[in-house]
Amino acid sequence: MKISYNWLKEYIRAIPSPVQLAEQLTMAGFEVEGIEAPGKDIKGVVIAQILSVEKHPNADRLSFCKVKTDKGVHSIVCGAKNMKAGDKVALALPGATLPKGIKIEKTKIRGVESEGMMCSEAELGLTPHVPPLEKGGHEGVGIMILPQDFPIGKNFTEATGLNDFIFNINVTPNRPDCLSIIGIAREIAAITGATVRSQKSGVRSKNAKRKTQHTKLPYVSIAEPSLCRRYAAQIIENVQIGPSPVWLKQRLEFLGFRAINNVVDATNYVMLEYGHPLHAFDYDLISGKQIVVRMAKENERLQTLDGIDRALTRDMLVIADKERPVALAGIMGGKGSEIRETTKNILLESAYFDPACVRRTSKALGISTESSYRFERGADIEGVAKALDRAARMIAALAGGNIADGAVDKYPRPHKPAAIKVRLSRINKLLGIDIKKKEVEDCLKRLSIACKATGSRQQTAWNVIPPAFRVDLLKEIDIIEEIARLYGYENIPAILPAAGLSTRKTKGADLLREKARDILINNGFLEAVNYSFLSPKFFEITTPDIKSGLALINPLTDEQSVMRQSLIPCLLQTLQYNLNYNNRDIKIFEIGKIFIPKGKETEERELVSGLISGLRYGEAWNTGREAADFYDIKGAAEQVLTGLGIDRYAFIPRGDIPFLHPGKAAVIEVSNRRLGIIGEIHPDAMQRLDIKQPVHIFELGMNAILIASHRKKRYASLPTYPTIVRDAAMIIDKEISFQEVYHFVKALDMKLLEEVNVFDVYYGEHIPQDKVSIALRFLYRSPDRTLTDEEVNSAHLAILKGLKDKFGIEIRGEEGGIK
Amino acid sequence: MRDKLLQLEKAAFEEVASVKGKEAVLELKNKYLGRKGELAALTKELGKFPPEERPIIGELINRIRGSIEERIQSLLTALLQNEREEKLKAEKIDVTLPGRYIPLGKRHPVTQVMDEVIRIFSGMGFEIAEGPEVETDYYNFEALNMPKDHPARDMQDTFYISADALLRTHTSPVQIRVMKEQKPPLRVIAPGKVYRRDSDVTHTPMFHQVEGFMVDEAITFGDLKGVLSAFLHSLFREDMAIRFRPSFFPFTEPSAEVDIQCVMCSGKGCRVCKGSGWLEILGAGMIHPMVFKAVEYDAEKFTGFAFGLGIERIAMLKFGIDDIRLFFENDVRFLKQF
Repeated sequence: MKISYNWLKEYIRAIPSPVQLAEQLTMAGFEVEGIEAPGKDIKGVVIAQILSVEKHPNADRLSFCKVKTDKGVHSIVCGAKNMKAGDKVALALPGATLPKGIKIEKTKIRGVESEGMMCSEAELGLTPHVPPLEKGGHEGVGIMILPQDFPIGKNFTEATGLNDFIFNINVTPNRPDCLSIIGIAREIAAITGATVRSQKSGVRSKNAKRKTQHTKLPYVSIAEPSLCRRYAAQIIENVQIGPSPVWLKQRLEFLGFRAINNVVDATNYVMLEYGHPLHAFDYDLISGKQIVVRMAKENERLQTLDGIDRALTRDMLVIADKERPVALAGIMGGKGSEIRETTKNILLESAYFDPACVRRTSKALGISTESSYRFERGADIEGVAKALDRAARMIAALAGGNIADGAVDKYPRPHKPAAIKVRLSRINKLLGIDIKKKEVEDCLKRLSIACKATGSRQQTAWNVIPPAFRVDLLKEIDIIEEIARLYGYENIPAILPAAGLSTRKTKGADLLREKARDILINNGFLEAVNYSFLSPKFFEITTPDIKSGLALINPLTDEQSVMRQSLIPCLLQTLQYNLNYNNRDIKIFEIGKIFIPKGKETEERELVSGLISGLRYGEAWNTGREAADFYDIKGAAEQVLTGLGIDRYAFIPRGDIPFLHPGKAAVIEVSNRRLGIIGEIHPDAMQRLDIKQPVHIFELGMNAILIASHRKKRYASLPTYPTIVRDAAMIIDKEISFQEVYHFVKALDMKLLEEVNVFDVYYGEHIPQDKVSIALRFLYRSPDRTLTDEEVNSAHLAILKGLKDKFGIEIRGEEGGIK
Repeated sequence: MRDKLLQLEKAAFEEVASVKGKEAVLELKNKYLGRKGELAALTKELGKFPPEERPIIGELINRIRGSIEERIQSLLTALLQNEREEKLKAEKIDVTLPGRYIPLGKRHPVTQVMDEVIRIFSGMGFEIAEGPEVETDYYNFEALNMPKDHPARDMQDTFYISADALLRTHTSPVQIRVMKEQKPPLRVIAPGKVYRRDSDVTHTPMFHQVEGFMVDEAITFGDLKGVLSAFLHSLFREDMAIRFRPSFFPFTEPSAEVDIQCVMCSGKGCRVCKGSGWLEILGAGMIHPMVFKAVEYDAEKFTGFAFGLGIERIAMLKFGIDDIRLFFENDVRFLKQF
């Protein structure tokens, strides 16, 4: 909220400097986010009056003026045409500085000495900014002509109020009482010990006439006393609607309000000053001179001040006249009873509306106003009449009307605050301080909180009653917070708590996640973090049925509207982004959650996914410039699996995963439990994404890994006897996978066979089209002796025979590697 | 004979002095010292001499053999050395060319900062807890003293899944979940993703938070200050100025906003700290009695503090990143920098 320093000064005489005040407010919980000084670049400009305007002797387009200030008469050469003798102007004397670093000095212009410059708005840096002074000449071209009541010789920024400092204060939602000048003034008083002056500011309202007229006061009835606990109204007759005076317009505009007319401006001014929202109706447009505070009826409509015709519902509180709603209670008035140029009689409303009710309606209709903002946080129910009276006087003063005698004030159940018990021991226990009884009482006094000691000798305690405007003070803890605030957080000593050692272990899932990260990073993968929501288009890459997705009701954009069910679309999105920036060799991974609706619940699963695309080793001089292929992503997946303590995994070829290449895809399983998938992205999907280089991905479920992983490590004694190696190259049907061959060999359960590895795979020339040549290396070893060639040969031949019988393979080289 | 021998020696020396190449030297060696070489031939004549002269001539032969051998050997050694030097010279490579390796991957900068925050709190005995990202209104708001129609809900613009389900706007619901399951004493941090309906240079609709809380029988606001000061000093600098100022959160009271001295200008005032010299770094406060009521703790017996901090904000300050959206674009040129 914006607050004017000059305005505050009218309430606090001993006010600290702006910088100091900002610091003090911030440290008391009212963060000052910025201070603007609208006139800070204008120095040495004074109010002057033009005595004479003559033609410049040597130049047709220039004028030669005599101008008076308190210092004497000055000769000024001027290029503008809009001034005449008698006008008040802003005169920059030699030595003055203006915005944009302009310095004013005595100069000779076409042979005539000029002792300064009469300024335009632009030269003063005022357009299109404030203030709303009468613009000079046409559209502000020419010098600025000031109001006649500006005193000659007075500093320009002082006279115009441009010497103000506008504070931008972050008022937290619990402190609606500080959404006003008086509220902040009270707070400053509490912090500094100063007193708030009761003197009314700026408005000359003493001469407001107060006479009984013939106009009847309205008949007010409150149909919903729980939602409108107080409704006061006042009639001001015979007003003349017109623009507000300059000073008032300027104050409003400094604080972010648009000046409208004297009546509306007065209500806004009082809201800014007192914090209580008011509304002015054209009384002649209120049917039946009758106000009913009631719920809207089904199908009732109201055109609000912003011109929008709104359909109301039965849970919305309205102000109605005899026939129809005329305002949304506490939110916005109706267009039909708006103050207009022809308005003669005013009905001024000051009321208290239930915060939750105002908030619900404001949310439902999507209107947030300065009024609803204050009501939904909690207005001062005791301040209703004061604000009404203040505004009525102000309107009468500004618009020249009469305040009708007597006011309506329906207040069926006056505010009766309950006393709050506050214990000294509790304050000290919670804050970790040793504050004394007197200090607490002093704090309470400064906050206008009434207190009565009720404690016993064992326990010091008080019954306290906060003022009505402090809607946030309801419980002991709220009072303790106030004590802490005034005591000063900086005065509470920081200590490190004594606490027992904890021995609980890190969870298995946390360890696995960190390990997976390390493995992938060591393998050259960069970690990506993507949004958990994506566009339907990307969602559908892996999950064709968009309806199975968890959709946001109120997404920011369509791009972020469905919760992901796989990390793969996110990684593809990342790839696409990088390709657009010509980053072509990509190895990325992500660990994160996916979201699967299960009835009303949502299942969240953590996955780890990796993606490789582009050159295997990037553009290095000493590595091959080969594109990464399926076996690169498979290697990465295998590293993750083995690194996480899984060894009996199997890659089962699968041709039916829609977004993967049917010939280059597999599911990863451990004892028939699915861990994840792997493969090359299907060319169709690639085409849709307009990605032209092959992309390989894997995706594993962290929970499935956790279940399958064995974390116990056991030592196996190192072999004492050497291995004997036999190689065998075999030509085999392409349809038979290596895994089948491998499992077959393993299943033979040959005691002497320690391991079997592939060391070459070849297809092409010299090999039939439907065949592939695989070279295997068999390692034989016995734990208790060195094997003889005969033993090894017989085992080896048995294996080869088994392979021939099972798969009909052809062993290349007669002896099958036996030398 | 003697002359012959000396002549032989002289001839050999001359030849050795002018011989070129390893092959020629070996040939020379063979010529003079080989089994069928010239010296051997002369030695055979030794028998022709009277026995008393033989030792003298024999000695001469041996001396000459020795001296020729020595010369040839040293020549050979020099040649070998030369040859090795030539070879080594030929093998020279450009050691300034880059090495061969798989470029290291990197943890995401958010992960890196998260790791550090977790490490510091783990060191102070805090345990890690996690909770769902799709939350209920109850855990995200209601139990945290933010009933429906509470204006404080405006502070966190929410993504909804249904009337009751939403994307958590903070990690604070984990507080409720942990306290409902466990009894004090508690020292817990809850890291994770949170979501707010907001998007600009300093806001993304998803970001990371760490929530932390400590509950026991005599935890005070002083403890809150102590623990958070220790954390911030460890995360930034030991001598970093810190200030605690009053603020408002519905689930803590008293509440505090914690500022650190601006890391960009050391408190002098700059664009990053908007001239104030301070940077808001985390929110904290004493756990509200209404929250204890929601988890059925005795608020008279137990007190505690809670805090929450945004990881991206810290990462931005630590790494000098000026646009939060960079974290989620995952440009590899960005990711490689950390």
